[in-house]
Amino acid sequence: MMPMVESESKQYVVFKLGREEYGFDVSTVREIQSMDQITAVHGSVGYVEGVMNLRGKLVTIIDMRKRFGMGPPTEKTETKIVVIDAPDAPVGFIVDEVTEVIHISKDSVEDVPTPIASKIESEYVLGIAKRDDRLITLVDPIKILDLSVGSEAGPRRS
Amino acid sequence: MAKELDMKKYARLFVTESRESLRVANDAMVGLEKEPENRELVDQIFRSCHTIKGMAGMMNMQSVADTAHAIEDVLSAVREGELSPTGAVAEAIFHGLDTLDSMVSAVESSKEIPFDQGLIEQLQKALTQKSKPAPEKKEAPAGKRKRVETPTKTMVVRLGKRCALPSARALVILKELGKTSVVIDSNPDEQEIEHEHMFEELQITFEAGEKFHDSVKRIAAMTDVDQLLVGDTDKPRESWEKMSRQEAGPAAPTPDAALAKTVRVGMDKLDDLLDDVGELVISRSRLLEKATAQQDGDLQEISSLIDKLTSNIQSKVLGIRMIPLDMVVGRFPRMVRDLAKNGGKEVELVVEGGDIELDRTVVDRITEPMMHLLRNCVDHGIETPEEREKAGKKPKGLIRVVASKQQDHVLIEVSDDGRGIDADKIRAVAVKKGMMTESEAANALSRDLIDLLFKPGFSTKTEVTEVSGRGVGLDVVRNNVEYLGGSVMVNTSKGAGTTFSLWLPFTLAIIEAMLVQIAGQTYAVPMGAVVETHKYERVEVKSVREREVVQLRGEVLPLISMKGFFGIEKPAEKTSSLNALIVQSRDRRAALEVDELLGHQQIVVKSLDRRLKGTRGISGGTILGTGSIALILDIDSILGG
Repeated sequence: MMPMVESESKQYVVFKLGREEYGFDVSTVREIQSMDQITAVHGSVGYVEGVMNLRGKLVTIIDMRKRFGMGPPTEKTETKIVVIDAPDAPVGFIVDEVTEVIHISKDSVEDVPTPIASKIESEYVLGIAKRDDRLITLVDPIKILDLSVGSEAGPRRS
Repeated sequence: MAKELDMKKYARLFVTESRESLRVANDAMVGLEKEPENRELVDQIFRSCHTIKGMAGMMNMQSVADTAHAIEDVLSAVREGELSPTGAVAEAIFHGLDTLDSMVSAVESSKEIPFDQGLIEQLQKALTQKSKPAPEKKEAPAGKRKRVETPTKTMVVRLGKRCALPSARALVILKELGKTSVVIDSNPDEQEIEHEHMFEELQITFEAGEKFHDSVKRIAAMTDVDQLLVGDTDKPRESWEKMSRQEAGPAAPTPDAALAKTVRVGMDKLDDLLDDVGELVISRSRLLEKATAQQDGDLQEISSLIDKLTSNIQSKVLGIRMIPLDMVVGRFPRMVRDLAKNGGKEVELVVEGGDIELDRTVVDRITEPMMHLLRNCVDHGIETPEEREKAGKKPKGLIRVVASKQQDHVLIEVSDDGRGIDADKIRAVAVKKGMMTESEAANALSRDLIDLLFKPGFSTKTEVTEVSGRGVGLDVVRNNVEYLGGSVMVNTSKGAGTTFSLWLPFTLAIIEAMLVQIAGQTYAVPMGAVVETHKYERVEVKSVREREVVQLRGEVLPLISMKGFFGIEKPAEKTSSLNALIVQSRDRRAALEVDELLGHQQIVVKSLDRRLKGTRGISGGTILGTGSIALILDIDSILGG
């Protein structure tokens, strides 16, 4: 096979939430874990599923579906945890299924149409990659986290 | 290229050395204000600036060198008796030292070095206040005054061929010797060293001080020093004492020696190491458990050896994280001096117990609170000299910071001999702020009134001063101390002063905890907060104003259902009895209803992600022997709610 010489291509970890496909830049992903025991943290924001023991470290686990305001999965899923390297500590994202790691060239990425962009916060959507007949939404996990911290300032007891 | 690398390495050396020099200079400067005639102090400051100037010059940090030089000019005038180191002159020098400090910080964080032209002008202006015109004489290096009466000694230092920046090392050597002796001359001299002339050996003639031998030992122990000869100047070299690094042996720990013999390790690495040690401690318990169950002598022997080694490693790793309290209190004299000056007060600060070592995390956490307490002492506690004299006190107030070891805690007391806390004033503010009604305030005990001081937004001082009004209140002091598992107490008597006592743990990484089960999950409660455990019959639970209470030997305690606290749906349970953990935080007690009491064990405290910090009722987590997580209950916030 000929080595692919694509102009400015990046590798993405592709995962599913229901029928939608999303991609994280592979350089932000630390590892992919099977679902393990997650300890619930009561009183934390809704999309925080809890904490998990990742080789002696307490890693916060975020439910991607809840984060994106989606309901629980309707079909059986092969749930996985995508652990990313946030600047302060690793954080895990629960996704329905991790499908593959693929090269996506910059040329095939398009901006998000505005009406859709406003639905999911446009700040963390990097673009939409077209691949054959699939559409993969490329998102920046670090940005998702940053926004999470900001939106965490919920009602506090006085 | 190689030079660039050296520069990086020496930037670190520069930062460490400069910080130490600035600390010495600041201390000396504070002392000099009290004794303007003390020439030894002037020399100390001069030497410090000179060291910084020398190193900065070599590293091409012109602005730093210029600033240090400008301070030196003022200092030489002081040394010649042409200027008095008080008033505007002292201010200029302090300002200069501050500027150097921020420059050093910039070097440390590889930022652009700020340059303060205004400062140079301030310093030059200070120079114009000379009482008599001084001859336009360049400063002589510190202590280069001729005093030929006493016989001198000479030291010859040969630096290793691989010494990267011999001039930096040479200046460090001169400085070290200067600590114990008076350097008369050196070859090459400081100026030549600064211009980086090549030299094979450094020859220093000095008047030996009492402790000069300590310095010699430390110098001999420095890296890059190949050989060192020392002896009386007028005797032949052959009779001199010869020392090489290997023979020097362990030198007394001073900053310089420490620099030569230490490895810098990032705090994150130590945290990682501690994580692993935590795992090791947990695995050890499992190993011991398994080994005792087996009839295998060898296995038991090995496991008991591992048990011992693990304990050793654990205590050593915890020891590595300890730093002396001086890292915090070292800055205080200067700070208090500035505060007092701003507030028109006269204050003397006495610090004791700075050598006590605490976990790095503890030290970091108490820095702000302690600074706040000092600000309080100066601002609110100590009266103006006039008021003090009227009250029959010495015009100069006294603030003491005393640290001492108390069993498993460290006690830090910050006390002043000022006016004390006025209970009536607190009453008035409490009423004004709607925290109490007038009759409540009138009947309130002084203990409750003092507790109000720790509430956010409470201040008895009517005008907000520049220093105290920075949004850090006593509530932050209490929060930080309690976060560390410590507590704060206040003792005050009107007219005689106030003492704040901070009780702190030495370390917080590994604690003793009680494990409990709530809704299928295990939680840990720090033993420090646990009073006892108790089993109650359902019928014993009474209700007072719609809140459930239980009694412990006659004392009525609120019963807090942890499931209710966490908002977990309570299945209609019909158990006839309930397990309660009696807990205490400060002076509040309560019974926590939990599903099971699982016993106590040592746990390694791990912090939670910042996204989970501030979750009510949870202060951290730990990993149990089974690999599952137990969250640590934050008793204070549970009782507060």
